[in-house]
Amino acid sequence: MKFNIEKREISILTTLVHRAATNRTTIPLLSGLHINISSAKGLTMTATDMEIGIKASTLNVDIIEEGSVLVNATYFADFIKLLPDTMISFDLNKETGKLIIGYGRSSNRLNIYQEKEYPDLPIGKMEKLFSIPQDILREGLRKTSLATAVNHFRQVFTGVLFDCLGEGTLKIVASDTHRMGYYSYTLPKMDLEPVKFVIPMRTVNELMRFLEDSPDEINIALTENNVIFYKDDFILLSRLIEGQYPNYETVIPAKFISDISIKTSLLAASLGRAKIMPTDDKFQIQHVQFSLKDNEVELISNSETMGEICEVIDGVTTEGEKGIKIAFNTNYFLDAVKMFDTECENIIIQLSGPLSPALMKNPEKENYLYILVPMRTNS
Amino acid sequence: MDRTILHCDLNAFYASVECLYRPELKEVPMAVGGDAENRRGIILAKNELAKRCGVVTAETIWQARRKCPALVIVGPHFDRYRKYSRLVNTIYYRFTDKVEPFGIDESWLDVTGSLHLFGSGRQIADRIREMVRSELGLTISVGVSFNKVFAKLGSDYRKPDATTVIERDNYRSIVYPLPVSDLLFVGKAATGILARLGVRTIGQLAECNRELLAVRLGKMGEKIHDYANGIDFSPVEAAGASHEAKSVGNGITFRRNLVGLDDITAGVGVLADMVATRLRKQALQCRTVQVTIRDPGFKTISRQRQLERPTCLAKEIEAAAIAIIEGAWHLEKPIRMLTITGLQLVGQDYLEQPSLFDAAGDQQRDKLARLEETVDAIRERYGRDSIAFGAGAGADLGLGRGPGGK
Repeated sequence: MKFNIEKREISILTTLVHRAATNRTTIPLLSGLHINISSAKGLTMTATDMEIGIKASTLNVDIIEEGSVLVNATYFADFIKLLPDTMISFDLNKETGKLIIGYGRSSNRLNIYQEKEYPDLPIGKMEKLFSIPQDILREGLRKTSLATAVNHFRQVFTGVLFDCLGEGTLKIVASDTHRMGYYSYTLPKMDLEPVKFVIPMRTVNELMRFLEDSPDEINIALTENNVIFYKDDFILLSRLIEGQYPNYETVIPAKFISDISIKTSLLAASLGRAKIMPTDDKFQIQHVQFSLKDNEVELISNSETMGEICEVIDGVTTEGEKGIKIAFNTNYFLDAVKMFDTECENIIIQLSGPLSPALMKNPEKENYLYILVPMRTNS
Repeated sequence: MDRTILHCDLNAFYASVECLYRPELKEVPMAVGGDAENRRGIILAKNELAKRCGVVTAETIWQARRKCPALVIVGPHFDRYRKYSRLVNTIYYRFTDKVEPFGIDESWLDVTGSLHLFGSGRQIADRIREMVRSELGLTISVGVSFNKVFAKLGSDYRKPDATTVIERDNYRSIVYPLPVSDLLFVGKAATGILARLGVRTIGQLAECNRELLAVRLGKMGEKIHDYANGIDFSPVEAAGASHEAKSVGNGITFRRNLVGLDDITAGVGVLADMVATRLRKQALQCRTVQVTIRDPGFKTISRQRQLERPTCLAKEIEAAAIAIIEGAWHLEKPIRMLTITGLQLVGQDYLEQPSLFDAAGDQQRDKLARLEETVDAIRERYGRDSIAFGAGAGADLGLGRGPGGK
């Protein structure tokens, strides 16, 4: 195996692929990065830890001799990243079992794995479901995945739900049970087989590295246990999270007692200040008191050790009941407001009661909702 | 200025109290042990004669009998021990109000402020010993030092009925040769780790590299390194300082082993009810449930799980405990003892973060809460055993409560 490639080109591939490998394994293969050179497909890299597998390829490579080799994924990726921006040469010396990486007058005689066979990703029986523009998928994942639980004994809450309805609507939903991100998109393709699956957060993170802000489409397919996101030069295969996702439609509040329109940047700044207030031990969860008055909102956060902030945001448009006091988890609230701050000047907050879920959305768009349950005192 | 701290340790406390009630027991090897019939059968305390036969605390009665066939076993009377513990502490209070009990038979006393009234630490220690002996007929050993950790080492150093003074200029010669396991908070696991580092005595621990200890033992490593070097500024918590509960737990050694889900459910049910009742009494809720399981070979495992929301409801604690056991234990393997503990306690002020998906659950929960509060009220009026949650099995488990018990 022998080839030359620009550092930039190979670095893009290693960055995408190497995270699928794992060092926490007794199976050496799974810590490896597989490099394949063929005149038909160019340079292809593959890595998998059996939970997730990524394969990416490029044709921008100067092939001298076909072949393949397996190297340590983490080291190889780290090393490639640090190379100078020049043409890099790769030459596998079968006798010495070294991959010679040449850059300028320097070289790395890299040890290789002795494994002869590297298994192909199990994508044999996949069935394509639909294609979706990359920027849409990216937006949907970004806006929902912030609501997943880091840890939950019901595994489904640590992942992101894809709910494909028959008439061609895709819903992307994530929740840690206290808040929920809900994104819907109408697929151009109609009459789909309805299907639901939950993908792990790790897969979302890897996917986000790949997805571009472009309307170019990416395909989604399922096999028995896996989901596959793929295009011509990229495949990401991931295990699905098993388990029943609860009915999320019924928890979206439909009746509201108050509608509020508030300047997003002001609210974000105010919550930013509330966030650094220490949390008293007796509460354990940091919260902010949100009070609705005539055309203004009051935000109170306090701590026995530091003090109390009381902020007033005016120029608020309200409809419905006034005088409502409601307590929100500061971080959950801020996560959402920060996100809306990147896209809309004002944010709509709809309250359904001091102890019932609140809904947040962009006044111009209905396809994304953030639902947040207020906090409740025990007494 | 250095503090003067006393650690007073009642010698063979349970056994000594029993001997007060039955003086003839002083003449024979005797031990206080659990009820052998109900298998709560370990040695809790022993007198000097039994000690000479090699009887040690916490071994089973059966093991002790093999060493000392003539051993007389007396069942425990915890009300008596509590009474004498209180009496001893009232003697301590004559010298200082800073008395911090550590278990039923040990107390720390900070007498720094009383030295000008009663003399040196040693003089106070000797007077307390004399008073306890003459007024109550019990003996204590006292350690006197400039911190709590060394004071405790001192009370262990010579006993019974002795005073050991550990000062800045003699602590190296007294403390350094002692095994590390004598030091407060150095248990079996830590002792093993230290042994692998070649650290066997407190002196070696004091000279050991602090960073290394931190790597091997975490924060505790730094703490015990300080202890070995005489660095311990922890105060003697003055009497009456409220101690907020950190956990609420109950355990039972069953009359026979629990085997299978029915047995386990019966045992867990009773324990969860005890824990929940205590939590409600203190207006607390727990966010984590821990289960400790001991098998007949005394192998013990402990597992915990965080709850979706804090609770003081027996049914929810029970469900969590069963789930923990199902995940950690082969249900057909016999269980000798079970402990259920509520951890991460929160009070009334605690703000709950409710779940989006649990509106129906909320109503059920309110019902359950009302039911359990009603049970509390009935017990308040008619006694603890007047009402219990039903369970099919468990009549022969020695649960001792409700219609299913004795």
